[in-house]
Amino acid sequence: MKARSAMAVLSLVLLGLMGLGLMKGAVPIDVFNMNETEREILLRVRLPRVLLSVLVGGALSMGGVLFQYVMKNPLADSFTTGVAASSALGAVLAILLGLHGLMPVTGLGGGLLGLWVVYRVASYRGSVEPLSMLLAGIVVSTFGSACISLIKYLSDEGVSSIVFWLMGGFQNASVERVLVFTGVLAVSFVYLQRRALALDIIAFDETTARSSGVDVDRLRKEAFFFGTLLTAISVGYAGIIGFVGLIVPHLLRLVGFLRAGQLLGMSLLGGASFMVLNDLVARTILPQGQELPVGIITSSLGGVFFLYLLVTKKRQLYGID
Amino acid sequence: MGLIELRDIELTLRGFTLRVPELQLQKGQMVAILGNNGSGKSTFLGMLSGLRPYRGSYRLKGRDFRDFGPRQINQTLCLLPQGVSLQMPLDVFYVVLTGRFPWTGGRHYSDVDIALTEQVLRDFDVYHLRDRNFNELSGGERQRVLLARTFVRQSEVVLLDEPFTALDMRHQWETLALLKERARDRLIVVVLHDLEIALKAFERFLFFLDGVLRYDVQRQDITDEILQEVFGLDVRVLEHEKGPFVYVQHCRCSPLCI
Repeated sequence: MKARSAMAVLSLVLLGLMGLGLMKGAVPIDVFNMNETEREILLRVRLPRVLLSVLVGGALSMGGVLFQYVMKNPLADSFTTGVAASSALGAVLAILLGLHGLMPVTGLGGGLLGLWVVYRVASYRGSVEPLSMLLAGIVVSTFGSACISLIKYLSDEGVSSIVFWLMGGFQNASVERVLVFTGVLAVSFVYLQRRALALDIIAFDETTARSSGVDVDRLRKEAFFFGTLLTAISVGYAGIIGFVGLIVPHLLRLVGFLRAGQLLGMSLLGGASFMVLNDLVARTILPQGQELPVGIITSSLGGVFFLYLLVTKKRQLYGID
Repeated sequence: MGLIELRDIELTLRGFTLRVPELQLQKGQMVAILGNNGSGKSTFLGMLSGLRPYRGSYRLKGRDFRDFGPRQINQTLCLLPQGVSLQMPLDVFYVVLTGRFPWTGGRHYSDVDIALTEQVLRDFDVYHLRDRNFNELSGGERQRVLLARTFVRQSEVVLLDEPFTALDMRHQWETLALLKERARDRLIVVVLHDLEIALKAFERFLFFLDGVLRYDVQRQDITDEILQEVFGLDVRVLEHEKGPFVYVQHCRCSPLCI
């Protein structure tokens, strides 16, 4: 099976990259010859960090696949739908009110609200207009970012930490976060894998999908929920990291993985590999051992990629098929 | 017992009302639905496939339609709507395979589903397109793929909304032949506009006028008066030894008019 062997290859690539991620960094570590400090760095700092990047990469890519199915648009992901920014706003509001414990809830709520607005603006009788979706996504994103900026401007204490967190990065990795995230991602993946056949069918127009026996409204809500959940937890733990959910599924489609059953699993592995690589670059590219926020790398890569998609996907965007 | 039995069906949709006082349809029939634009043909097919809420009595295989679950409905009947669009890249083989969805548990397609897909791809002359991206096909090729997707369901009732529109003449007639063959053990209901094709290939006719099922007649009982009332046009059928010919008189726009 083509998909099986590709999964195996991609898993090996991911393991290799994770190994590299563990060894490289401000302090190079030789895993076969470590002293006590190096062991501490490896287990307490680097391992959670690499694992978090794996999880965030996988979650954002899988979320991208979901948003693309529901919005019926290859340019949809957590960033372009405005979900990331509105979810970040929800989380920041919780911080502002001193309710840190509620961050996951307000993050999810904010994301769902933003997505709902974008969907309502861009859809008409069950079909989503691609350009309106992008426009509405930009509006929601900009609004979310503006509100966050306002909050930063008006309050001083603890604000610098917000700034850095939202830029996107894996500095705040911890074992608990990795465990929680693994649980959420595993449950989402198992659930969505069961709905893979139906996901492919909602890519048809509403009448065809419904008369193929798919409960379109319910599936759409499920995909919205899981896509936003995966985004919200990624944003909460690692800030806004753009375009991963756009780049990875697109590359997978380019090499011939078109069905949801293949795309979900492959995007998990592909997104994870992509993110570990990006984080590795972010940690090693500056000479004196300083780090770049990883969001800067993915967003600049993603920006170029997005332009490329805008140019090559014109037919789809303008609804010509 | 009819396969489909309707009584006092009424349905309102965005200010438009559809009315079907009484209708019985059996297995082994090819039924043509004709009528002008906006006369309720597509709405009627949508209602039969359970996409539109209705008032009145609809019995399918002797049971009240409201007792059927969505899976059962779509195992029993299959609708091919107009203007199908697919907004993700998928290959032709898989597009046809998705027609089997109501027969799966939702998890995976079985070997039977795959074998049936191979078969209908050949039947509808699209086997050579099986690896192509559906959205890169021509309109007529897409329509044949969608017909294959409809018949792979193997449902007892098949509802087709203007299936011939995009097809070239050869494929129109080949598709008609396939429909006739398949109508032996099922009911096939087709909305179409080409009266000549309808008269040559169908046995039973339902004429819709302003949202009402106005006439339910056998082929031999069609008169010019019925056609003129339904279409609002001076249309006549010339019976000829080689088959019927449709003749439209007094067209204001044709240079052939005398």
